[in-house]
Amino acid sequence: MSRIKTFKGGIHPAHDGKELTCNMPITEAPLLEKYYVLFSENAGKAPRPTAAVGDKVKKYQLLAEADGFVSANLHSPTSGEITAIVELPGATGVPDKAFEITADGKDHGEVPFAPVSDWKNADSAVIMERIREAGIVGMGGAAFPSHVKLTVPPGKNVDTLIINGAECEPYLTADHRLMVEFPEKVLCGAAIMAKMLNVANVFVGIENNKRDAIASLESLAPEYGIKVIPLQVRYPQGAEKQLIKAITDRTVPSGGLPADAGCIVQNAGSSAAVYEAVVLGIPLIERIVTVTGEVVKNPGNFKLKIGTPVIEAVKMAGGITEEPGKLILGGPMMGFSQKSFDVPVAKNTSGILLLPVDKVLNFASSPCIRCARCVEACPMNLMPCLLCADVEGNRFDLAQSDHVMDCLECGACAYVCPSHRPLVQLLRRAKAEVRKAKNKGTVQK
Amino acid sequence: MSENISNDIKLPTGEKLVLSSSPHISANGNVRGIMLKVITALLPAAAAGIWFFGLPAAAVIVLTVISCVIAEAVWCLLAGKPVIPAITDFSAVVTGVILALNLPSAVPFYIPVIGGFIAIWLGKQVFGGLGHNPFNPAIVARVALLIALPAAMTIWSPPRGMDKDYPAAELFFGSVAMKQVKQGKLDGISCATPLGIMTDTEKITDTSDRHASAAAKHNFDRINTPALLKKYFWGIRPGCIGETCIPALILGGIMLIIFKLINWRVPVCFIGAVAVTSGLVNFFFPGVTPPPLFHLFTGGVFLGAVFMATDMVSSPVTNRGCLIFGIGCGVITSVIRIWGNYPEGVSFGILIMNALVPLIDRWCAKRPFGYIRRKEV
Amino acid sequence: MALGIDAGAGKRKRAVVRCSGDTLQVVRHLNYNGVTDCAAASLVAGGPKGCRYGCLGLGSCVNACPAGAIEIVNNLALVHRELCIGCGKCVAACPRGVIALVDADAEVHVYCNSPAKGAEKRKQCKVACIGCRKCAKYAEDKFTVNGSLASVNYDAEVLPDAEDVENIKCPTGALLTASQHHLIEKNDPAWKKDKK
Repeated sequence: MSRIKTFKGGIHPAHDGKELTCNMPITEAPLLEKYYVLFSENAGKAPRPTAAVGDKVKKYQLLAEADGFVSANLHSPTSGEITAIVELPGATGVPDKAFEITADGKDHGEVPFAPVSDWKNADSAVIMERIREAGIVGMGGAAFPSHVKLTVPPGKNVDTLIINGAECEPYLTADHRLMVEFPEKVLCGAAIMAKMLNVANVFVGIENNKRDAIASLESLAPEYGIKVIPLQVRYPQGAEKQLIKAITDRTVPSGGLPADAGCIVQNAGSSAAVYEAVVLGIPLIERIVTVTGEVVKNPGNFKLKIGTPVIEAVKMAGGITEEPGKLILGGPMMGFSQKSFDVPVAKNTSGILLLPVDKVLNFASSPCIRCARCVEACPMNLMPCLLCADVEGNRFDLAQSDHVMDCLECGACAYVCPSHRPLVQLLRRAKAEVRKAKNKGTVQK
Repeated sequence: MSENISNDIKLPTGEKLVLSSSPHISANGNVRGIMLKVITALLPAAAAGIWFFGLPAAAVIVLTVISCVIAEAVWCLLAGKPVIPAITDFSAVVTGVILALNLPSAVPFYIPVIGGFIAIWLGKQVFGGLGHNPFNPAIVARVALLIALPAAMTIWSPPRGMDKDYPAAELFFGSVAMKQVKQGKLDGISCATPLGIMTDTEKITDTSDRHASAAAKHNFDRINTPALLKKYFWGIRPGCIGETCIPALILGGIMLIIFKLINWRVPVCFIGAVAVTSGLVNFFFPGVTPPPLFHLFTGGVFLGAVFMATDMVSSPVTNRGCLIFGIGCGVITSVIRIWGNYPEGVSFGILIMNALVPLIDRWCAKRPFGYIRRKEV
Repeated sequence: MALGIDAGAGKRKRAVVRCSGDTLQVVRHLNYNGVTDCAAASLVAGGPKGCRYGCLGLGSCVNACPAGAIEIVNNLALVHRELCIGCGKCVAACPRGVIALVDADAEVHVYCNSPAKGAEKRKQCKVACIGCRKCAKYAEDKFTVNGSLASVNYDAEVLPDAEDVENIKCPTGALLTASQHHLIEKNDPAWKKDKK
């Protein structure tokens, strides 16, 4: 048996919290009274609203149109009326607007696109246009519009499509359950994208702790000509560059794209969304979200419509046993902590995590003891302890020359730091300063 | 948006929410845990020291630790820093134990006291406290004491197992003390260390008096026998409290490596470099220096390599850097021993390499994943 | 005059933190855990304060000030006017632009920095300027109102004084004299109403 593939660096969280929900089958969410669909649910420009207050909308109806190439369409999750446009923060805390849709309880809609059942013989441009029309974005968290990601830049040669089923973040099991219960959606979506890109090699990368998902995919994968690659359990295996390195042993150059290494990576959830858009003709309006945490009464995986308020999702999971110390959208390593429960679910919300007070990491302003655990843990071969010393001395020029822009902000360094230093925040600060200086044209000291 | 709608479902209000950057979980472990593990790894060497040198060694260890902790507390009080966190992270205790293991057991009481204050104040706090010191604090104290109070720092007691039946005993004790040793009176006797005898031999053989040279060389050969080398290895030789028993130090080193507290490259390269350097010189110029085993089993090479060069704060952060650091320490140690005036070069070797660590970190900086050589735009 | 170049006369300037939103005045101030620096805290969901334009009170300006003139009281930065040398380092350090370098003689300021709509501001802070224009109506040349945010016109011939503040009766207490604003230090909730 060949060695299980992996990458250099990274960490192995001792307690990954997945046992709370990895065996919970996906539960359909009940229809709610109100949905708050954020405008900006994708990286790049927010789409331009085409619906207005007072409009009666049907399920799947277009609410906002993509503004430019790097943007995505937005569709209504249910039928009802747009009663208001409210100000709500997005997951990162940036203030944003949202359509307040008061559902009429019928959840009626017409499938807006004609299903392309014969996708095997369809034109690549048709499939690409469908993916673009359906407003599909990277559902692993980055929310990059998929049609942009799947467009091979001119001059680059892509021969490999990788489906990211790693789900390396602790506590999250949304992709896991998707692959266990609907493997045909993931695999068919992958095959569709492979046909469109005209690539020979298609891999599904999946961590070794999801044995049932591996088995479920392996039973169907040969039909589609897709290989399932089990990977060592390591965070951040799901990061693009590390995934490509582990599966194909190719290195994405610094500052480059996966296409520079001849690969394109898509999340398993996005792959299933591609299947639904192409074969069933429905746009992206719902996704599987893991609602979990030790204070949640009945943690589980729920199929939530976009615009579901987080408080309603917590209600679906049975409420709480005690007040949480943190509300995180996403996973505990890279997710965003929230100020209140008034935020809605978006296309890239993979998890709603309520951590108890005693499990929350308390950053301290303790000094660095140069133990070099962060250096060992960094998947990008950086030296976080020295980089953060640069930042604390306001030497952003030194931070830039020490390659801080290569940082993934994965959090592995801060996870292992025995002094509990806020390394990721300092690195983000450096990256923000370097970006600001690049825009101004100088690097400040 | 967050009201209780039924008695069954309790909804969160968000009153205890904390806002912070990712990540939101961390590995178990803190600085105190690391220090406690280091102390555990030091226990075999400390126990061996007390076994061989008796209660005076225990007193030195206790006194040094207390002195270090008090020095830390006093500095924090004077500097307005919070005292309890500084003391409860046990870094002063670790410094104290390591410094104590570097002292001879017969030192007068003021040596541990002064040493503790020098280590904490001059070796750590003036640079900004924990994590900011470029030099290993214990070494700073030891070198300062050695240079300022050389007489007090070079009184060596015979360990348990060293008596009149010890091979070449009269060379270690000297003719005057030997009379008392023959009578079985070992209290208050001081003796020479093997390295000390080696240095004296070199001084004599350097002179033009050929008879004295030959005699000195002959005497030296008597302390370089395999039987004695075995005794040196197990710790039956005069020296600092913690440096004599090599198996205890090896055990401590293995514990440190298993607990993932040190980079194994530092001790391995240090010891390897001492062996290789002294081996090469001995091979080509056998009269200049004894073979490598003598160098390894006498003096403080193992103590320095395992516990002092590996101090996290003053050693490099990259693997390649640690390699160079270890080799540098070993080479400098050997050079000082072979050609320098001091019998022992470990402390100076480590100090000099500590000074070079920022440079080593810069030179051995890791290339990021996917690094490509680009011309500066 | 040196080297034949006239240096010109400059007006003495002092810094003022245009915010009164300390922990007593803001509606909600979250527990924040992380780097004690305002620019770094702003990166985390826009900072622990509801208002995105107000003072975070983490002390980046305090670290930047060479004269030690700034003090943090209840999560709010206060510039001690008598110590301020007008160098402007705090202005550069503040990531939100809350600090302004103004005429040293100015006694009266509008302690609000948020251009958001008045109703939104009131949800976050009890002493925000709601843009009611009472001050501008009283003395058009002394105050400028941009949308929902009023500010003192520091270039005016005559600057507003304590009497003006008394006559205007700002409904939220955003318009204050510097000495009134400094009563914040005493944690006295009546500081808004104190006339001296």
